[in-house]
Amino acid sequence: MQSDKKRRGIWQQAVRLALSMLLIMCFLMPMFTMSAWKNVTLKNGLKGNGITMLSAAQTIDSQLASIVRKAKLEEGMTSPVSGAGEKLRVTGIATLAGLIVSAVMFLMCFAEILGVNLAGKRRRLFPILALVVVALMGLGMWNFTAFAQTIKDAAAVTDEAFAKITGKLYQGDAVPEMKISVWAYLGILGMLAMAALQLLPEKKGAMSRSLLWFVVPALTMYSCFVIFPALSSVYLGFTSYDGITEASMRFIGLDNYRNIFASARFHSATFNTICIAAVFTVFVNVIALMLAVAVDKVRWGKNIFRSAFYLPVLISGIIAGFIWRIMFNYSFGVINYVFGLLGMESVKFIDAMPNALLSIIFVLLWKNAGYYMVIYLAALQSISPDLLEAASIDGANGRQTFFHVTLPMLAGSFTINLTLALINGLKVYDEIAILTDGGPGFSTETITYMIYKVAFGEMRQGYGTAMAVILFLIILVLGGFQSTMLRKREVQV
Amino acid sequence: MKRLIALMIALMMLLAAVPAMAEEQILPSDDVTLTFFAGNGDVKGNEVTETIIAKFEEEYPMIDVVNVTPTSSSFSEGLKSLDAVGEFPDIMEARDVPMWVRAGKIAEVDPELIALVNNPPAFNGKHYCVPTKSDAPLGFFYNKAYFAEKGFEEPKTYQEFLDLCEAIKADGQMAPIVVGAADIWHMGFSWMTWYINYVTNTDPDFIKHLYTGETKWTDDYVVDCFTKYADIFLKGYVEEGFMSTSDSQIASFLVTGKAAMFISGSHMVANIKDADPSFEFGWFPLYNEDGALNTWGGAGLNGWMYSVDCAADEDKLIAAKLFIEFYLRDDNYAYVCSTMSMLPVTNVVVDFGEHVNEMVEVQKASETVEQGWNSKWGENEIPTAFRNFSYKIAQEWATGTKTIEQGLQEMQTEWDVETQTFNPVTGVGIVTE
Repeated sequence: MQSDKKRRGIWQQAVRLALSMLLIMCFLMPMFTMSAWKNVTLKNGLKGNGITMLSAAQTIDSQLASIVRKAKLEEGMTSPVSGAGEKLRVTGIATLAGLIVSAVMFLMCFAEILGVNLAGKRRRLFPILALVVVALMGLGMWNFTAFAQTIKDAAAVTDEAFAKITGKLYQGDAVPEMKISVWAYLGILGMLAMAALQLLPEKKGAMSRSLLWFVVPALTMYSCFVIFPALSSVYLGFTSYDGITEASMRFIGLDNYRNIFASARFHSATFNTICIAAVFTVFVNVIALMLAVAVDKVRWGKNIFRSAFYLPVLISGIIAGFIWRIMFNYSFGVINYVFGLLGMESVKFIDAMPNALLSIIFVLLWKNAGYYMVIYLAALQSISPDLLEAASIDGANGRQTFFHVTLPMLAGSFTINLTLALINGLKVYDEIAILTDGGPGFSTETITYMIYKVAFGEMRQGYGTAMAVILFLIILVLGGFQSTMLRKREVQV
Repeated sequence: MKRLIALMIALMMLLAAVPAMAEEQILPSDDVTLTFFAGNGDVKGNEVTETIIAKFEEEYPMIDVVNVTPTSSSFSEGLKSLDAVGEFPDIMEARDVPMWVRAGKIAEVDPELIALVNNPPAFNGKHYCVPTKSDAPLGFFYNKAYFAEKGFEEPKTYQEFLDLCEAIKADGQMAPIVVGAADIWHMGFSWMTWYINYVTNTDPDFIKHLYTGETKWTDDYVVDCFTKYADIFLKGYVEEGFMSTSDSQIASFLVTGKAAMFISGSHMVANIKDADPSFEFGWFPLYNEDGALNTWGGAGLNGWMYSVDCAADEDKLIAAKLFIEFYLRDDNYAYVCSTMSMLPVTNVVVDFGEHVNEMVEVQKASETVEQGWNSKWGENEIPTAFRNFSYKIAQEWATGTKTIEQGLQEMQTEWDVETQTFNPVTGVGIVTE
């Protein structure tokens, strides 16, 4: 028995050691975050990562000063590379500081895995330390970009005197740029996870905090295939990447976000997104509930009605779009043909605003109502007949029973359906692509549609990705708010 | 005597075989699959492409050509989507050549292929595509019988054109013009006609000057150009449901008497004949106020190109070269040109018929002949995204959603944004690695 326990203990230690090695991989990666100078050769020999950057920053100012002196600038002229050394120095200091803090955090965690509590009560500082590291990284990256831009701008100056300066410092056509390692993202992620784990209380009887380290392998995989690509997207939003040319991936700071918020097209897309999501969420639920109640009450052909209402759900958005595009056609469409037979004027369903937007919403309702109906129907059928019978005995009429018994019992379904409808409403793409192609002009574009058009059609992946980040935040805020509100209501019910 | 004749025949057969043996083709060493991307947007173009592929596969059974062209996206959008999923095609009909060259996706074309065509255009001094056609001028196709019945004549000035539209509208029998605006690229035909007549006719280097900041989209002559352009829609000269009409429907609008005219390229000759072989139609270009002609034409950076990966694979490269040679072979190329009413880039003789011959004469008589604004390269190359942005704005003018001033202001703002990352004059975004 004793030897069994001992053997188990050895195995546990081995697993812990393996996990620790994995953590080392994750945690030390921020060191490489600042590996820079991709595709560039500077004549002063500045190459490598953040640590070499710091030492180089010490000499760069004097080098620049010497170059400027030799270039014999005319009186009153300012060097186009002035301040470059300072920016590089800040980058180096930030990198080094970030590295030191993350190393301290790592050591404390590593010690804890081995059973030594170095952090003690100070572990609660971990989240703050993690944020400090991330902030330092950001500061370093920001300053490095500013440094690279200064040199690049100076290189573009054709003035002979300035050309002498940049010619001595900067070589070739390549642009100094920040190359952020894949592992760096993973490292930052691991560090945040470490900080989060430290906040968990160690309770007797509860799962041991050290056991949570076993999450690391799964977390690593999840990070590689989900979180890292998502974080890459965030990074792409700060670049001018066109989606096909690697050299176009230049860090441009917040330019994409600035341009997006100043764009009338984006304002229109945002309005359309919110408008479609709001109208769709309300009406699809009203219609779905009405259909569910009707299908629940109907005495004959129950299955036929259910199938008929659900059938459009089975059609893909693309096919539904094509069907309605043909039906809505101004000149050849069946609807206008029928209007003509009835002596009515033809209607521009998808040719002009606001009809185009209303037509899209109509198709969405037609296609999706059946889906939400099924959820309501399931909830309706799970209401105990005893409740309805009790209401009936108490003298409640049909309307009273519906509003005071049936409807409150559907609170859970409301939460699900409203949340799903809101999210789906915010993500509409297929129907718009086929029905209107976002037109006339840009008038029916939504953010989702615009993201695709910009990123793939217009070769502006960075710009499109920045928009995707904004959409993510909108969905996160709206979805979170709605879900919280509805759950409160659910609890009250 | 019989023996002598037999001997002579045998000798002749042997001699006939000698050149054939000397020109023995180099074939792929194994079965090859070539993924193929077509740049055509119209029905006839797709039909011709499919026919050529079928004939090619019949002649070269060891080569399988797989058409991977998506059905519902523009050229660049479709190609980029394929690139994003790692399925960039081997051989494709080129558009936006400079962009793909800068992306390092397409290879320099074999000089043997370039030698097959006349005056091939070069980009950065190198040939990246084998042109397939020389563009014919854009112009209006019209219902000849209707014009004859009403006594309408082909307009020789811009004012006469406006009078003609007004007269057809007043007649009420059919819409003066049909536009297939449901396809965004179709807007380019009308856009280009007005743009060439009133913008580049005023400043041939308009785009270059936009890059340098010497001109703006909001300049007076640009406003004037697009006011004229939008008026065609806003004055009710265009069939009302143009936003739900696609390019493939406009020929049927003409032959069924729903519209009297439409503007497009020479390829529509075949489409009209397909829609109704007995339909009588005429063609005229759009003249400016002084009766002068400025037309679209010449061989641009359009045609066959093959990917870098294809060029790196010996068998695929052989197959790609065979395909391009096959396409440009006189019998096949004559079929393509006559069916698509395309002006050839080789010396092949094609019997076009009256309409295309008239286009050629018009092109010769034009004061200026220039490539489309979206096909230029060098300092007059526009940012890739800007073309469709402009056509979308044109849709908004046409539907009255925006005023000319609002639209042009938005175009200027968009131009300023896009040129932050692409400016061939200053070199921003022009990377060749």
